[in-house]
Order: sequence, then structure tokens, then C-alpha cells
Amino acid sequence: MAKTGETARGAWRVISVTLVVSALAVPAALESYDVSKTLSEQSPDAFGATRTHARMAGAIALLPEEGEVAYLTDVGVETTAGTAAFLTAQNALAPRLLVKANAKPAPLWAVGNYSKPADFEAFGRERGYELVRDTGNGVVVYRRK
Amino acid sequence: MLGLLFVLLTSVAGAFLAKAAMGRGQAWSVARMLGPGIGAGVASLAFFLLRWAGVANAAVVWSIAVVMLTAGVVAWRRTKTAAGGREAVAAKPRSEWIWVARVAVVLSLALLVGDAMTAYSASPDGEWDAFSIWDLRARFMAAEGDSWIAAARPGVNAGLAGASHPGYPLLLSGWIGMAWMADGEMESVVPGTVSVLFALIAAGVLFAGMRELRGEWSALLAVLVLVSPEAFRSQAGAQCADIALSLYLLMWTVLTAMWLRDRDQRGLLALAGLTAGLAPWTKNEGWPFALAAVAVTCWLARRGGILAFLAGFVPPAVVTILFKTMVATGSEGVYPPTIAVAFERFSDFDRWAAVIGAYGRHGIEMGVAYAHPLVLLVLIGWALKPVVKAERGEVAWLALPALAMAAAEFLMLVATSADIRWHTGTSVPRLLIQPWPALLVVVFCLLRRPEDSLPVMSMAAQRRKRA
Repeated sequence: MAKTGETARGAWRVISVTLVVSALAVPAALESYDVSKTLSEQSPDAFGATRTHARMAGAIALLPEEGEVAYLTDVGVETTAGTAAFLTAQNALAPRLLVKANAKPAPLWAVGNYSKPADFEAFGRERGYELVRDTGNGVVVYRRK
Repeated sequence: MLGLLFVLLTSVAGAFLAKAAMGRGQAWSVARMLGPGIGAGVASLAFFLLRWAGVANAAVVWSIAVVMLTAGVVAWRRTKTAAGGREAVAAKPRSEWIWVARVAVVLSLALLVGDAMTAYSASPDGEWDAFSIWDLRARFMAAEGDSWIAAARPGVNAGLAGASHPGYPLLLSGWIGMAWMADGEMESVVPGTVSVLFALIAAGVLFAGMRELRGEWSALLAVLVLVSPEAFRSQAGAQCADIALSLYLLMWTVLTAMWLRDRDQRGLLALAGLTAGLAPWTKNEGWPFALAAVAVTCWLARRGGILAFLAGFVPPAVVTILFKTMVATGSEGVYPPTIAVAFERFSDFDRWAAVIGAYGRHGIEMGVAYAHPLVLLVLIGWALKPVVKAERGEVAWLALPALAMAAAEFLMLVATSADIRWHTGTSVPRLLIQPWPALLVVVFCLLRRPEDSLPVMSMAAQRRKRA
């Protein structure tokens, strides 16, 4: 009898805990899904990687398919915003390798990635590059003079 | 779409190769789940060697997939006709209440896929580490010509600290790069699919492995505990390599546990060796795991089987070492520059406090309070009870490699050259997930089978059920 009672208690424990774990796990998964959905709606493309792909499309058509490309920008690459802008641009332009504007030897081609309107031609000229085309959205392709 | 076809083809090839290595009598359900992990590992190793030799292009990449599939099917057919082995018998559930756990698992996995799809639709290029490291390296690997080598040079990402990782191994980026090369386009859907595939396969390997080892009831509970942490679910769509690493730890643990039960099946050990060798090919953290796995396997297989393990382990380990020593240049910016500096940092109590605090904080935040994975594990442990000492066997040893890796990661954070708060804040949630599936296998192997606590169904009840 004692053994039967023990078995019944064991069975009750297993079944009840299975029900409880199942009942807790699904709402937790649902809550996680809701959080994910809210975050996605509030900040889609949080780091701008997808936007950068679209912005860089014109430059990609002009630049050689591989090799080093100098990166000109009005946002410091060491800042958080500047790092994000650089990394998303590197992702969009790969397998071209972006190097800082002061790299030695200076690459033949350069891409400008700007946060606001400015005299892009003068910006490139000061760094030894002449403007090839302003492809819009703050993206400019240069070639070494 | 051709990229996804390539992923599917190499995954199927991996399943045949796994089944052939496991030998006759081992469950197809486990081999199927091992497929993507084995396929990704073998294909990416071959791809790297061919890239290094300068002969990689779309035709070569497709040829690798076809050769893998052909070799897998031929090897499987040979083992199918060979004698020996035993049919594994999974414990049959003795209560109809199991349907509740089955439904909960299906819903949880469906919501996990929903999580990943939501993340993908918002950020197709993945999280910060995905677009700046893993996906970027895949883009270099997929390029024609010699551009791929940039992935292993310190100049990538202009050498920015925390973004330039020339020594990161190439399993994930290599597999995605192959798929892109096969396709001819670099579509984000490939890394997005691979990311959620690795998460689902981790759940699949855990389910199939636990079902073989401890029965379906334990397997369902283990999967519910695996996918309950928010940290695991969010990584499913992150497109980083952490779940991939956790998959190889899990595969080694499951395969070694299966071998402990059936020591004549040396193929299980060879596969376990391959998965242990693929861990450092996935992430640098895989090294402490792999070395501990070698030590533990040598101990467990001291009466035979070490050679089988090494036959699987050595090829990926050698390729990873070749990549590290002959191809990759530069060093990791977050590593301490010298041993003396590392010890100086180890003697700083504030650094220990910062790392312990981060582990505690992120450990608590792993899941919502009412379904925190540790809460679920305590409940399950209370219901199932530990197995008696005589049944414990040697399975507890299998926790050591995952724990060794976790300890190494902890020490690495204490000694980091990066800002410790930034480094712990961005790393610890992912680090907690890496050993999690493997440790669940050990925990559930040390608990009684749920079926053993349930009364045997009477013949009449069985007849009623069949009817």
C-alpha cells in the first residue's frame, strides 16, 4: 500500500509540474514575442544597416568591385553615431574594404557618408579627392586627384 | 533562393553523414537534427581550405554540396546493410497528459520563430555584432578574387576596438558566404534563416537526444526550459554565432551521453569529436570547451574509443589552428596584452565585483520571474527527483567542458582590456546562453524519467488507447 501511495504521489507531482511548466512557458514565450514586436515597431532598423544599404546603392554601382576605399565623413568615426555609420557603410560596401580618410597609401577611390548638407566637393578636395558623383542622401563618390 | 537551397542541401548531407557515422541502430531522429550542424561545419571547413587554395567559385561551392550529399548517402547505405548495433527504444509515455507538454512545446517554438521573424522584418541585417562582424565576414568570404582575406586582417572595420576581429573563426561566416557565393547574390534572408535554423535545431537536438536518453516526457520538459529564457529567444533572430556555438556544445554532450549508454558505437565518439572540434571553428570561446572535451573524453574512453574521438576532433581543430596561425593576423583588442597585465587585473577586486554583478543581474534577467529557467528547473527537479547514485554513472562529467568554457569566459571578462561595464553589458546575456543547452542535457540525465513515476498503463487502457 505504501508503495502504491508513493507511486500515486510521484505521478501527481510529475503531471502537475508538467502542467504548471507548460502553463508558465507559453505565456512567457508570448510575453517575449510581444516585447520583440514592440521593440521592432518602436525602432525598426535600429542601427540603420538596412537604410545604409539603400543609400549606398548608387555608390556601389560606381565603385570597383573590390579593393580599398577611403571613408570620408563629417561624423567622427570614434563617436557612437560615427561608428554605427562607418560599420553599416562597411557592411553595405563589402567586399570593398573601407579605410580611414588619412590611410597611407591613399586609395584611388573614396566614398563620402555625410549626416548633413555641406560643400561635399570642397570636403573631398581638402583630402586629395575630386568628386565623381553625388548619389544623393549624403553619399558621394570620389576619385583621387 | 538558391542560397537557401544550398543551406538545405548541405544540411541534408550533414544528416546522412551523421547517420552513417552513428551506425546502425541509432535513431534517425537524432541524425536529422544533427544535420545542419554537421553540414555547416564540414562545408565551411572545405570552403575555407578551397578559398585559401584560391579555387573557390560558385561551381566549386555547389560541387562541395553535391560531394557531401553523395558521400553521406553512400556511407549511410553501407552502414544500413552492415550488421550489428541495436535499435534504440525510447520510453513510452504512460499518461495522456503528455499532450499538454507537446502543445506547449509547439506553441513555444512557433512563438520563437515569430520572435525571429519580427526581428528580421525590423532589422534584416541583424544586430550590431551581426552586421559588423559575422555578416560582414560572410560578405568577404563570398567575394570572388582575393578580397576574402580582408576578413582575417586587422584592417577590417578600420581596426576599431570591439569591431575588428581578424582572428574570429569562420564556421558561421563561411557557411553563409558559401550560400551567397552559390546564389550569386548576398541576400539577408540567408543569415536570417540560418540564425533561426540554429535555434530550432538546438531545440531539435535537445529533444531528439533527450528522447533517446530519457524518453519523450523529459525531452519535452527540457525543450520548454531551453526556450523559456528571453536571452535564448532574442538570439534566435540576432544572426550572431552564440546559438551556433551552444549547438556544438549540445551536440557533443548528447553524442557522448549516447555513447556512454552504448560504448560499442565508436561512430558516436567520432561524431562527438567532430562537434567538439567545430566549437573553436565557431567562436574563440570554443577552445576551452574543446580542450576540456578532449580531457573528459580521454578519461571516459580510457578503455577504448580515444582514437575514434580524435579521428573526428583533429581535422576541424587542425584547420582552425591553420587559420589562426597561417591566415589571420593581428590580435583581439579586448585581450590583455600580457600575462602580467592579466594577473594585475585579476588582483583588482572591483573588476571581480563588476563581473559577478553583471552575471547576477543578467542571470536574473534571463527570463520573466514566473517562468525563469531556474524556477522551472527547480520545479521539475522537485517533481522528478534525482536518480539514485548507482544510476548516475559518468554522465555528470559531461558538464565539465561547458562549465570550463563558462569559467574561461568569466576570467576573460575580469581581465578584459575593454571598458568592463560595456564589455559585460554587451556580452554576458549571450555568454549565459552558450553552455545552457548542454547543461540541460546533464541535468535531465541526472533526474529520474517522468515515466518511472507514472503507473504502468493497464492492458485494457492500452487497448482502449489503440482503439
